[in-house]
Amino acid sequence: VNTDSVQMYSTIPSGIYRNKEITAMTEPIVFGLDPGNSEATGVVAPRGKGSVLTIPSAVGAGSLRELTRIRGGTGQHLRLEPGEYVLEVDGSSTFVGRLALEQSAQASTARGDVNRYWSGHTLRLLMVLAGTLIKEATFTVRIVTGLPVKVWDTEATVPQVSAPCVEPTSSSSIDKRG
Amino acid sequence: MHVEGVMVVMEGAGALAVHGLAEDVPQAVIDIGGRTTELFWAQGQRPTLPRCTSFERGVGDVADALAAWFLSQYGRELAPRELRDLLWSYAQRKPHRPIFVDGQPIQIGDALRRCVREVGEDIRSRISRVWRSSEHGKVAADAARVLAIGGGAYYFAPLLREMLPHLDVPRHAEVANAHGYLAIGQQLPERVWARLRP
Repeated sequence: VNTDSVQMYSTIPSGIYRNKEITAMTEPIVFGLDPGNSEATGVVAPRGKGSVLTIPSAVGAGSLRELTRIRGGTGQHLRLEPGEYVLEVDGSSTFVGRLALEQSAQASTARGDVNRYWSGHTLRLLMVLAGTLIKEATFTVRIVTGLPVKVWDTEATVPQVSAPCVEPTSSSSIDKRG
Repeated sequence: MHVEGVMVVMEGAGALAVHGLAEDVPQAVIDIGGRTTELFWAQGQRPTLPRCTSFERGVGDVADALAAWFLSQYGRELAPRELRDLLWSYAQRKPHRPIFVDGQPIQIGDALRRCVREVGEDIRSRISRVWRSSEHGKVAADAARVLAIGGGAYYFAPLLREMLPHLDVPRHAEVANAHGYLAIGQQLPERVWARLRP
């Protein structure tokens, strides 16, 4: 986790740190996730107060360190702008949402590719949406989500889709301004 | 983040959970997104599978058509930011910011309306094929409620109402499914969540 810019982001560690965290977790939070072809939306209502966030469904490789270096070189703010998200998972850095569209050379919304539900694409969107909407440093979620009619299948699709989609990663953090 | 349980439903079922009728009656959802349109039909809250389908048409097709027209008309490409602003302005029924070509501001509201109409007519035609109620032209006439949701509802609902006069567009149509998923999750009893652990 890059910590050389104070208050640049918050961190949601998991994986190897999970066991310790789970003991500290509070009540599970119900999370509504609508991962569309173009935009992804998350909704939570912990303690009755609802919050919603929609971001472009784009994910692409990108380095926060490199972005900070370039922005610093052009005299821009080093902080991420509102609505810009950088996700770090297992040491690999990803731009998500608008930042991916604008700053990643290989950004993709995985449009038309049903594999996006279990390839990790949807999981990255979920991690950014949940990590931004839920203010606690560690939390437990119960997710309800939808699949397109053509993909959805009670017997075959749902178990394949839902299980890999929620596998915990070994370590992750999210850098955000939103 | 620890994921304790996951429930997966059909797209469209979420919106019906919060904006549908509680009675055991036929009802339908048209979910128009950026690139796809989902048609969800249910008896009460139970999906009627032969009448559920999807096809690849959405607001993104309006953007594609407008971008192609602009390039051929003015010899330059519309930037993604310009396209986004044009579509937002249309959805909010506001004039768009000026688009510049060789230093001159250009208004392209008429072209945008034409693109919305072309894509909307195609969507309407495809819905008609799936949900036709008779040879007399009525569509989804047997549904007690038909909802239009997704970002596309702001663009295509007026056109769809020509065919579906009883079409409802809920407030915040663009997040209706997500709100519905949340509502479903909040109503599930603990014993069901216990079975939904990954």
